Amino acid sequence: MPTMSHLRQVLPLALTLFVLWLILSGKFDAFHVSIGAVSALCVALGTRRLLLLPPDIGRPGTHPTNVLPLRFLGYIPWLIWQIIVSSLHVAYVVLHPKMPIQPRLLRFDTSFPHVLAQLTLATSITLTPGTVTLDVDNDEFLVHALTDTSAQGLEPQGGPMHRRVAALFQPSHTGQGTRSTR
Amino acid sequence: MILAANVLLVIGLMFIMLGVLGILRLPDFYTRLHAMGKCDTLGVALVLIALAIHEGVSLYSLKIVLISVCIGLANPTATHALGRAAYRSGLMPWRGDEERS
Repeated sequence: MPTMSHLRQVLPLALTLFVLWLILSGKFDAFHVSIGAVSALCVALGTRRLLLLPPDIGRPGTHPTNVLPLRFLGYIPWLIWQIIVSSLHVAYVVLHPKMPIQPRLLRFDTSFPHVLAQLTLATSITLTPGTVTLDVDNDEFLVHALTDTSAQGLEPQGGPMHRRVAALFQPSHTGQGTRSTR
Repeated sequence: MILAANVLLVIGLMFIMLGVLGILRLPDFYTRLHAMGKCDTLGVALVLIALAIHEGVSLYSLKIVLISVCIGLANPTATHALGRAAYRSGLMPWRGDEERS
C-alpha cells in the first residue's frame, strides 16, 4: 500500500498528469475532475518504479520530474534561442549559392552522472547550430557537424553548452553523491 | 494580434520551405538531417503558435501549444534516431571533394 513518502515522491508527476488531463478533457465538472485526479494518481503510483533511473539525481527514488525545475525553466529560453539561431544557420547554408559545408564527425567523452543529463546534452546538441548527435555509447558522444565553425563551437569539455547542462543536473549542495558514473 | 499571427505564420512556412530546399540541395543523408531537424522544428512550432494566437486565449490554443511542445521534444529525438540508425548501418558521411586525396 502507498505510504505518505510514496505519495510525496509521485506528487510532481501526478500533478503534471492531472493538469494534462484538465487541458485535454476541457470539462471542469466534479465528475470529470475527480476521475482525472484518481487516474493521474494511479498512473503516477503505477509507474513509480519504472521511471527510476540509476543513479538518482534528486532524492533517492523520486521521479525525474523534480530535477531542479527552476533551473530547467531558465534553460528552456536559451534552448529556444539556440533553435532559432541554428535554423537561421541552416537557412544561410542552404541559400548560399556555393553551400559552404565541410561535414565532420566528432567524437568526445563526457562524464555526466546521469542518463537524463546525457539525454539533455544530446538533444541540445542536436538543436544547436550545425551539429547533430548520432550516437551515445556509454560516455562517448558521436556528433556530426555541418561546418568547421560549428565543429569548433562544440568544445567538448567545459564548453558553454556542457556547462549549462551540467549546472542543470548538479544537485544544489544537499550532498547526494551523484558523481559516480553508472 | 491577427497581424502578428499572420507574420508568424509566414515566417514559419518560410522556415519549412527552407528545410525542404535544404533536403533538395544538401549532398548526403547526414547533412540533410541538419536541414530537417532544425528548420522543421522551428517552422512547425511557429505555425502552431501563430494558430494559437489566431485562436486567442482558450482551451484550444492551450492544446495547440501542447502540440508544439510535443513536436519540440519528438523532432530532435527522431533526428537522432535516424542519424544513429544510418551510422550503425554503416553509411559514411559525405566528406566533400577536397577531402579525398
